[in-house]
Amino acid sequence: MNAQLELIPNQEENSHPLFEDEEAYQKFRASYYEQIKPELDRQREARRLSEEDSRKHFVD
Amino acid sequence: MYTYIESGIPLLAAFERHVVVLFGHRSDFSSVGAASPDSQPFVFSSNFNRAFIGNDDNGFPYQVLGIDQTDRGIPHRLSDVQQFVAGLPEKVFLSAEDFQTVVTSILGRPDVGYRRLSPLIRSQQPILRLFLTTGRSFKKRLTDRGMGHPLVQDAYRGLPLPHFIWVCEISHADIYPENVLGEVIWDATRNPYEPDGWIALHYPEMLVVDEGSALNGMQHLLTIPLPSHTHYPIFENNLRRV
Repeated sequence: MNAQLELIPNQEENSHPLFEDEEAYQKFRASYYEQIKPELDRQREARRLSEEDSRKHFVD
Repeated sequence: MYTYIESGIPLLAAFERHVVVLFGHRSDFSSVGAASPDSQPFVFSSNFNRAFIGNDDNGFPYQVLGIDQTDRGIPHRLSDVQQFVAGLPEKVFLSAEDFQTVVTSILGRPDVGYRRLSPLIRSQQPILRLFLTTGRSFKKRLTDRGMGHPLVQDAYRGLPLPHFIWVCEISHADIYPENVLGEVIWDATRNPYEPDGWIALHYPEMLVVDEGSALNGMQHLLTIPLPSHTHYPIFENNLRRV
């Protein structure tokens, strides 16, 4: 199905996959997830505390 | 706050006993070429922001909220803001701070980051400008902006984009704030924890594009080399310079 989408002229000849194989890609995904997770968790907790504080201050 | 306003999204800024609407900002780019600490991998366009512009119902419209309080303008300082609310469209699940985290992480990576894939960008400290827009608005300006290379225009034009996208433009001090060298496009309707939310990674030397996301399929990343790339104008939407 992906082969039907031609983004640039002569796509087959003028492009190549970013990762060598599926294993390299999955390795990248796992490593990237591990990299971003701690900071996203920290931000999620900061937002939760801020919303809680806001509710106390402006609503209750 | 700056990133939402740069995206054209007004904010409700709450002070101790009052709320004002902020919808514009004032930047000073005279220091754009000044050296930044090498310990910082990026300079954000928000570093040049000096004040916000807003409407306070206790005063005249279009007043300044600055770092320091002035006789004229909104009678508060920026540091007095206790909370802010950004009214995002319903399907935008990726917040500005989460986008900053995911995009700076990918740009700094040893495998797909700019240090490995873009000698031109790594030659100076990159300046990053983040904003939210619609895929349709982004596409509407492709021809006018040129996008640095005809193949980038072709690829973006043929790529079905989601309704909302986050964009991180990459520039250098000698061409900013007029021009950029590339950008990262991210699906704004994605959960930040999804590691495959990026749709395109455009460096001056190459375009990496997710062909799979266009068909709502698994990510399928194609690399398109870009010989003879040039810089091109920044994206401007509903927030215009005055």
